[in-house]
Amino acid sequence: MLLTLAVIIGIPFLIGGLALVIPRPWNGWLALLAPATVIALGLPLWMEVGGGGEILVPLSWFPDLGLTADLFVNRLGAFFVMLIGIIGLGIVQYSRYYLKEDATGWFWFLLLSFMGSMLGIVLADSLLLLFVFWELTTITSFLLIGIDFGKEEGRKGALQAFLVTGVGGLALLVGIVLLGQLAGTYNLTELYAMSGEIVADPRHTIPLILIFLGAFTKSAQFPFHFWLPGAMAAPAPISAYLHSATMVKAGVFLLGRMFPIFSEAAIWLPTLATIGLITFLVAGWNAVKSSDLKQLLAHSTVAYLGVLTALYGFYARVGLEGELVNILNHALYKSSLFLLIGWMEKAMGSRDLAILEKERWIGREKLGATLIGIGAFAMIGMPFLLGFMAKDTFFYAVAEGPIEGLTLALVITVLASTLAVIYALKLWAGVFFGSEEPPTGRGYPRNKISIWLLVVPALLLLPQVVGGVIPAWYLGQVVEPGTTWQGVAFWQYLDVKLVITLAMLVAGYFGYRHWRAIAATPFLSKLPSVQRGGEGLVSGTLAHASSLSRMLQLGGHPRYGSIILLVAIAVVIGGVAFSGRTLFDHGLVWGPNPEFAWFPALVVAIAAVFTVTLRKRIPKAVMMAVVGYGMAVFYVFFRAPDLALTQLLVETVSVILLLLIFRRMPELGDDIRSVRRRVVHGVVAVVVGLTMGALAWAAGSYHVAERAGYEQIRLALPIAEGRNVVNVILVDFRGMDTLGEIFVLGIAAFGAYALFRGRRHRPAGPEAEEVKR
Amino acid sequence: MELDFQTSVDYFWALLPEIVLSLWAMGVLLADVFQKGSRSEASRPAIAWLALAGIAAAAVANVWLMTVTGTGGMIAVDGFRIFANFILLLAAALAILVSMGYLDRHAMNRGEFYVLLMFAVVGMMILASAQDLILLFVGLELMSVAIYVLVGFNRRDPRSGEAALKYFLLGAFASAFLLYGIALVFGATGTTDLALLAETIGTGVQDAPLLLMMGVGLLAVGFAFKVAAMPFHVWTPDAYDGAPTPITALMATGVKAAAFAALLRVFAVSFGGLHETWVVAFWWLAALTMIGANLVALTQGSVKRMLAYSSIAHAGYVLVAVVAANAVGAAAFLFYLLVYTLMTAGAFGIVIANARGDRERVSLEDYAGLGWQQPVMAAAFAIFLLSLAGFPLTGGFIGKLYILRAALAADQVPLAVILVMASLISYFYYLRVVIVMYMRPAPAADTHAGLTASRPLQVAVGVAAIGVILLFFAPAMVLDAAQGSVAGLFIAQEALFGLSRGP
Repeated sequence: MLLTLAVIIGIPFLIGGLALVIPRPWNGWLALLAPATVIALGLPLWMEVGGGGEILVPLSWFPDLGLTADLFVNRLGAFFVMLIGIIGLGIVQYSRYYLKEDATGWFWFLLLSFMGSMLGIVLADSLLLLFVFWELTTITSFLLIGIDFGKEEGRKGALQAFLVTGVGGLALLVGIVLLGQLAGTYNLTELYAMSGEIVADPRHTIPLILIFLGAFTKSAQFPFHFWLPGAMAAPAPISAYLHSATMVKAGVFLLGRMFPIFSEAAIWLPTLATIGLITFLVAGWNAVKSSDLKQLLAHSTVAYLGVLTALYGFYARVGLEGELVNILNHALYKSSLFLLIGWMEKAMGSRDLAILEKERWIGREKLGATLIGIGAFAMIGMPFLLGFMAKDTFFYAVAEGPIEGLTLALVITVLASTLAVIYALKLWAGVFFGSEEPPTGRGYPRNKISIWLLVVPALLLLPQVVGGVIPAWYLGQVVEPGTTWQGVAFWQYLDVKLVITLAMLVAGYFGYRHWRAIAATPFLSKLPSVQRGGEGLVSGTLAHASSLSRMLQLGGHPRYGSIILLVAIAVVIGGVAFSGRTLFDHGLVWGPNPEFAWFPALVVAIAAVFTVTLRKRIPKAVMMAVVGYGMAVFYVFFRAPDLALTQLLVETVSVILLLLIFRRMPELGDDIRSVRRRVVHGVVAVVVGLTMGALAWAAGSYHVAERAGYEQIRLALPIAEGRNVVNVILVDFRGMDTLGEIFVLGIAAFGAYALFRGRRHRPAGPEAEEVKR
Repeated sequence: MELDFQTSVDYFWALLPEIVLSLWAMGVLLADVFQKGSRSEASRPAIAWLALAGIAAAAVANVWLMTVTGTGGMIAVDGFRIFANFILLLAAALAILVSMGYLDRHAMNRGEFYVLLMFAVVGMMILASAQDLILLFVGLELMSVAIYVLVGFNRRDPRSGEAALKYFLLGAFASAFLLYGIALVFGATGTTDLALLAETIGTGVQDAPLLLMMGVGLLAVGFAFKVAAMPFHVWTPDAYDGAPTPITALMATGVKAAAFAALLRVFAVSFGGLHETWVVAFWWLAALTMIGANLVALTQGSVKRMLAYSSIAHAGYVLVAVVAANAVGAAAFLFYLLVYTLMTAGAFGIVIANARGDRERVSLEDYAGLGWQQPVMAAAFAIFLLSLAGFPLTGGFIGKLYILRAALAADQVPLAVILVMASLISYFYYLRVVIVMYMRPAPAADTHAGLTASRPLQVAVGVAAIGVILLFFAPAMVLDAAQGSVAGLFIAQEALFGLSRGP
């Protein structure tokens, strides 16, 4: 079983990789093999678990991190495997004829990798593995949307789609990790077993909301519904596969995976019902407004995804069968319609209703018109089509579902379904019967195109018809193998509901006749757009980021130094404040000879001020030396004559070196800093100096410190046989450190040599040759 | 072998990788002097390979170190150090490989470059293994001095000199803070030995003298500077931008990793008892770094500068693992440093490769259409960028997931949220480069023809790319090693303070 599942996931990636190296047109033929294999292996799988079994295949990845690669098949998963395989086969065949030479190896690689990633999502048992494939679909779809490179629109749409689904992906990741933290496992099968405990724990809400976010962004639910129409720059087969049949259904699939865990959660039903129905309505409205037929289909896809989301809220009533009927219905008719719009664009040179409706192509394109008509009727939910069963199930779920009495839900459903009638009629009647205006006389741009562009959608629509004519047998096969579908039949009750249905159709037809007037209604056309809000957020973030960038990064090291010093001082002062103590808890210690110390202190302070304020280099250096000599005097007061001698020596050498260097350097110019800057620098210097000084002073008054020093003094003579404790520390107690410091000094000298070394060498290689010439 | 550090010989054995590398570096210097005719001549390619061999020799010594146990000295002989050493040697090897063609093109192929680089690595290794604050400071200075010089190594480019000066001046502040902090800690506790410090400090935050707290604070400032955490990062973009690109790669990987290793050892182990206080500081550093660096990275037009900010942002992610301060966090920390080293070095390798002569093409427009004209190079860059963004199929994903788990295990939920939001912002600027490479046509059909990617650079980029992918598919090997190597580090801490291991 492991082999079967591994092949199902792996074969698209493998063939995709091969397609990169095999030339056209062979790679197109090869690509067919991937979905064909998936179907061939998926069918027995479906027969096995479709009736309700489960298969779990353990696979190790990294157990300590909770990363397993366990695979898991149940009815939902196997259904999706078949769906991805069958629609995928149609898409590959269609793409070969639609894209022709644009179907490069890169395209096949991306398309098949996407297919493999989708299969990974639906077969993963570990939620982390599911997430990995989830993000892979995000990346591959991002690249597929943008494959028409050069088009600014495509790039923008791709990025927008990516960012929205990326946000959702991250939310999903955190949700998964939190859920794993809560339950102690990432594996679905184990999570299912403990759903009662999880829901009983009030902490389950946050992960659930985050997982919802992941599902809603992927499935373009309100308020994230804008990215899907934006992603429509992709070629027709990509839109058909990614944006109607599979990828956007990943969100719905995720809800299906979560259902057994969270179905009893308090927020499950209200959230899904609300978001789903709002999406259904808002997207339906957008579809009515659209003139570009592909945009219309995109909005109608979003609307149907709303239906699927809401159905998971009402799941308990209609069960998995109801959901699967709807998923199947939508995948079949919507992908066909996308493919047919692709055909229309090739055949008639446009997909804009404003152009097409003037021509009334019905006489010319009977086959195409029939197919689009079937698709549009399925969209409306006409009898003798699978769409009827699906819509029926949904109405039943809403009307008879667990939130009985909530008439608002039913009103929204009726309203949104009426909108669906309008845009379905626009799509079909609008194009083929046209407006009442006389034809423009624009010539018929019949391009020579392959019949496959009609055959593939026709094959995909076939199950719609079969399912509509013999529903009980058909649904028994494809929704619940080996049984006769009991299902639900809203239409069996021929009462007031029938009246509502007929009223919807009539209203829809009326709406279609006047859709432009409706779409232009001022109130309705000013619905708030989340997209604008999102774009505003992005541009606002960018603006703030650049001002932050300017604030931090303009200027030389004085500003950088000021920032570092001030923050460091803030850490010190904040630390003192935080601790609730003062630095001088232990009193003030003045040192051994306070009565004499004021004089060198004064000298050092004055010299320090001069070092900063003098404008010539050499006096500056001299003043700096005065500071150093003053320090030496301090050391004498503290009874450290050898330290004082060392200090004197260092100062003398430094000042001589500085004077030698300064002789060869140009004199300093005027201070070009503004007065304000000088004041700021002065304040920074004083604050830092005072704080560090206070710290040093306080350090001297801590008695804990004595322990350390006395220890060294006590041990110097007996252990190291030295009377000069400083020397003993340097060469004996801390000899290693001294060695290290010598090493550092050596490197510093070597580095200085490397930098100051006289001439630069001539460039080598070909450039040198050029220089010589 | 058992080392108890009663005699100096033990120190020799404990420091074997560092000693091998130092001696080898001097050998390289001598070889360089003897093999070239005049001072102004460029060094031979063999010098670079010799330096690389030295890194390999140190790695072998490091492998040998695995068989050694040691307690009580100024040098730690533990899994943490060995793991960190491997990361540092890897960073050095990648830096040397990407340097080879680069130095010739920029007319600065001098043996000193490799010698200084090797000494810098010795400093990093000491920094990562010091068990005593004074030795730690020695390591830090050794590393810093060599790096200051290397940043300014390109004397034909005034920006290189400016970068070196800025880094040096500001770095001096940082060193001063660190030294001051060490002095205060010593004053308050009477020891600089990390293990003794942990014992002396114990668990009582309440009793800790204010002086000690100040010392800890100043140490934090010094480390924050070296790992380039906001707001102590101000030097980073200029220094990274101006430095020769292979050195930028080394600074972003090796220098940062070494400083982080020392930081973790000092704070999580020695100051583990003061956990409650310093965690607050690092919490803010991590949050500021993640948000600020990612926001500013959004506005960068230069890819090299964007990568500089990206490396700052990643310091923020690693700081999250430090804040978690449990064994999961420490293992996540090591794993992340390894992934980070590979992907960052690889990305800078691509920046080096996308050049003509001595002109680096770093603006975003220079990458337009690269995906079609240089497919391999662009694919590698895409892998590094996706890994930096934390996408699946790359080690960056596992690393970020690991840190996320560590943060959640330590109940740092707000920080985890910031981490995720920051990653989201980062998608935008990493992906922008990918988009430009694949979705914007090149100005001309031969825009990217004849780019100067030397063979060693190709090897480095290839190794890094394969490593990044491997760390996704088979993370177990490295994760096991990472967990094993921090186990010892935390046993005492856990016994003392009951820090949770997490699930």
